[in-house]
Amino acid sequence: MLGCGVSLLGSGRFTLRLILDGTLSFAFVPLCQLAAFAVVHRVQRSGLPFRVAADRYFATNTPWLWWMVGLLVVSAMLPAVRAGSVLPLVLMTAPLPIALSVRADWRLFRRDGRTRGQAAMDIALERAIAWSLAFAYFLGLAITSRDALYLFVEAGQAIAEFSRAVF
Amino acid sequence: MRPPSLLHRFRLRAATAGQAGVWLLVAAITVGTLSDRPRPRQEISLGGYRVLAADFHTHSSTWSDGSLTPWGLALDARYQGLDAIAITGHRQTQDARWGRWFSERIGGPIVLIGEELPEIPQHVIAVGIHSTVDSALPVREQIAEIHRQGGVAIAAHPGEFFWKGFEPVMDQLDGTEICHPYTFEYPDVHPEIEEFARRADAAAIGSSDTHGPGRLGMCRTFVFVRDATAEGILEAIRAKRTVVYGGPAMKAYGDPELIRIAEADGRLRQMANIDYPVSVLDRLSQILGIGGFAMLVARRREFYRAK
Repeated sequence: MLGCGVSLLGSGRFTLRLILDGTLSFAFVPLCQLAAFAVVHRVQRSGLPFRVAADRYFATNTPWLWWMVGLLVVSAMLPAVRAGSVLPLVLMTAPLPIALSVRADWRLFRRDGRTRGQAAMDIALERAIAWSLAFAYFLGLAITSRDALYLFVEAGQAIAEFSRAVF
Repeated sequence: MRPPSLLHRFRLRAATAGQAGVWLLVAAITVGTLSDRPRPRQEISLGGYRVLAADFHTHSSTWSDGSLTPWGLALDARYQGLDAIAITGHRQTQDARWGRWFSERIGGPIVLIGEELPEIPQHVIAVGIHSTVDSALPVREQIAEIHRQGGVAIAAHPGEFFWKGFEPVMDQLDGTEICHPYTFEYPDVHPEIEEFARRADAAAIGSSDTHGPGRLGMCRTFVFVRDATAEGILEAIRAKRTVVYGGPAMKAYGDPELIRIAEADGRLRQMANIDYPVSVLDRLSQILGIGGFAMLVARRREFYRAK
């Protein structure tokens, strides 16, 4: 779906060459999520096989998918010279799928028998790992302030310390 | 016989919607791929020079917040009728090397090694360098290092916010972006970069600064070269032999004599056209694809609910 978004925004159509390339470019998103969930799954000591648990976990991305369908509609309506207008829209509306996917994860973890505190910690841990990895790869070298880059290093150290404490 | 349960009906409907979604998506991609035709690319010679269409400010997806891989950029450049691009990763040149390697193997456009040095309060584009320039250096030393490597230094999107950073190096810039897609979104910015270009006395540059949305080469630089090579392009920029169409009125900027020749010919203005018409096939591809996705996401929700 990310690849299709790249194609629509970059050419105004769903074309194979851009879909394949966009999919490759944004493959880091599900990979970062998977890596983060692997850590959470280990912390949870769930009896479910990882494959099944990961499948259920990825289902909580549904709010993001609906959000992307909305963005595709907007992108299709924008003329090429105004395609950049989609970026402020992304930033302004992203809190909605963020909140809804947190709610979906919360429900999933609670249904699996995690206490409120544990579910909250699971979500925080998953987001900290996945978002840090994704931002470090996607924006790590691009962001302007060197201090901001160092924040990722600090976040990584904090996660490493937390992981050591947990395991 | 008992009627099917609600759960069963959900599953059935979801499966049907899912299949339809997949087929819609396949149809969307087929139609979209068929209508994906390259922009016409012409070999143009004017005033005794070969004219190359180039985009000197592009970002790939490897470490540089773009949406296409370096090799994807090289392929897209060909589709957009460009003869040359500079891949300008933020603070790195690795993706440009990959792009150049790939393009050389497929006989694609000329790919120049570039880098964007995005510091506050100025962003410098280095084109034609060999190794990464340290963006922690003061701007004067950044540009000196770019020149030492045989490259050219271009002021990126120099709206008023960036003027202060460029003040000490106005006489050292080789080029300044006079056409940037940002000015189509925010026309008020164009007089600012126009004013900067007047003061900088450097080659006029048009760049797409593509990160994904929009088109590669939407803003492009027409470079009047003696040799259609990377070296030939850098030499032409240093000699300010460029023409760019930019701003809301698509005014011509650059060398006055070359502008006169280009305007009399008319083909460069035509190639710089920023009107990207949406064909019936494009619209059909959009509708089928978005419809297919909506059905797949709906199916996914019902599927997991049923589970």
